[in-house]
Amino acid sequence: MTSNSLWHEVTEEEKEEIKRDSKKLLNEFASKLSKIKAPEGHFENESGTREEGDGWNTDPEFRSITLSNAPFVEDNSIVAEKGAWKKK
Amino acid sequence: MTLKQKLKQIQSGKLSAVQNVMNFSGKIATPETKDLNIFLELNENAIDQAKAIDKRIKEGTAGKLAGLCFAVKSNISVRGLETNCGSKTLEGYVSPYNATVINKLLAEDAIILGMVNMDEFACGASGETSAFEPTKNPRNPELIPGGSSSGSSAAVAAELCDFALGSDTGGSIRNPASHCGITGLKPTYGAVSRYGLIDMTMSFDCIGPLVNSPEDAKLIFNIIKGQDNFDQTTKDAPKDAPKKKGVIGLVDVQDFCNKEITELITKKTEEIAKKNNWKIKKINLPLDIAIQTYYIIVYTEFFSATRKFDGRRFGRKIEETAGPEVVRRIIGGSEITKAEHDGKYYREALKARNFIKQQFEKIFQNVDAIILPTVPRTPHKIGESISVEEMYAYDVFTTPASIAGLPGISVPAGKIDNKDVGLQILAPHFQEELICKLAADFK
Repeated sequence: MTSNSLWHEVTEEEKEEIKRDSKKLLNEFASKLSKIKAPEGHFENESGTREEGDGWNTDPEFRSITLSNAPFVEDNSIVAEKGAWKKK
Repeated sequence: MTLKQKLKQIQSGKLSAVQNVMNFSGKIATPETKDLNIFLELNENAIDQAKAIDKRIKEGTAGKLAGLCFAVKSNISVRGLETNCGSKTLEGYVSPYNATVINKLLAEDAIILGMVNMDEFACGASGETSAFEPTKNPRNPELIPGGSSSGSSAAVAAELCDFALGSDTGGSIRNPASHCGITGLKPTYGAVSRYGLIDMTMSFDCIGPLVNSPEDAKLIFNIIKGQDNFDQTTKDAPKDAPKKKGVIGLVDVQDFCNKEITELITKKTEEIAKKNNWKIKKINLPLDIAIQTYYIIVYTEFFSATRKFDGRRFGRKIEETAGPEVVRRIIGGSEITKAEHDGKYYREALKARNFIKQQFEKIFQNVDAIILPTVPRTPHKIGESISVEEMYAYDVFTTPASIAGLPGISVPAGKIDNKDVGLQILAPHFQEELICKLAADFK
């Protein structure tokens, strides 16, 4: 797919096109990688577990900024798990 | 003027911190600069902060960067400023806390000028995918500045700040540094805390400086580096450095690169090697699998990272508000995780990642550092049609170091058709000092 890279709203039709194209692209990528012979690796943190320390304390401004970022606030709490976003 | 020279001016009283802020603010406010679309939000408290710093300079209690002004990529949290990642998804989101790197710079009395534009959620290599219009390249406003740290790079190139912070996942500091004719340092993965960085791909993301010289890169890196309890992947650099071999590896890139760029980088490397008495060894990197490995891992981790943007706690739902490149990576990541039961994508990419790491380990047994172009082509015009594959191919020379977690620096190597071309130097983990030293010779 050739187009410019400028930002625009994505229509449902375009999403379907992106889905088809990205699946094709990923299959091409995976097919190329399947020829690589290498063992699987994993990461081990040499330093073990971290020292938690005292962390940092939040303050009233932290709380007010956090609440002001939320779409729905009730009784000084963010309404996030009651399907409140559906009210939009 | 280097940052050290500017600091001397400020410390000697020839330039005050307030005057430094005002000089940059005046430039940022001109119509020519506004047209470049670099700053998304300015720090309204900068002058007050500069006044306090001037007082500390007089008292002899100021920090190591006292009075220097910097710009921040809009995916690095700054308390009280909008950290929108260049996306309508987070438009209006104000960070309630500072990233560790911000705290470290503020502790040394550097001054934040504002938040700068970027590719949406760092998904892009051109600066065009921002939901707030693309940033233009200050060297030639018709051209892309590169990305995803487009605003950070352009701000330095347009002399709108002393330095800028960017983030590099697969080249997002080095690529725009190359296109804008400046210097960009991607540190070793884990050398700089990612705490407060809104992640794109957490196993690749690094925060680093965009500056005017390798010496400046070293100065800022030394302030922001170090182990941080808020980021479990960070660690301090080991004290022992690898033994010096006096050999530089020059990567064979002819199958992946514009001929003129290949010739320029080869010529420049040979010139500097002769001057410094380095031996050059021709080497091969697994460039043919770099993009494939990188993007499968990116799609998977980005899909996971964006699940929090569901419109409940902050911002809007990402699938409903993001542009095409972000949507592509989310849909792609979703497909990978659905199909992953047979290990077809992510598992293969992790094996390839291991293979690439092993190749670097073998190469570094014989060379001190590796040189290759930063980007395989010169920047295209903003809005030019380009395929997804062509866009991803911009990353072919920067993704290998990201996959292996190595440090890399891009420095200006010259111009082709009046467009800036960057040269990239890679070294073993935690050898930032070495690459800055080598890069200084190219500068």
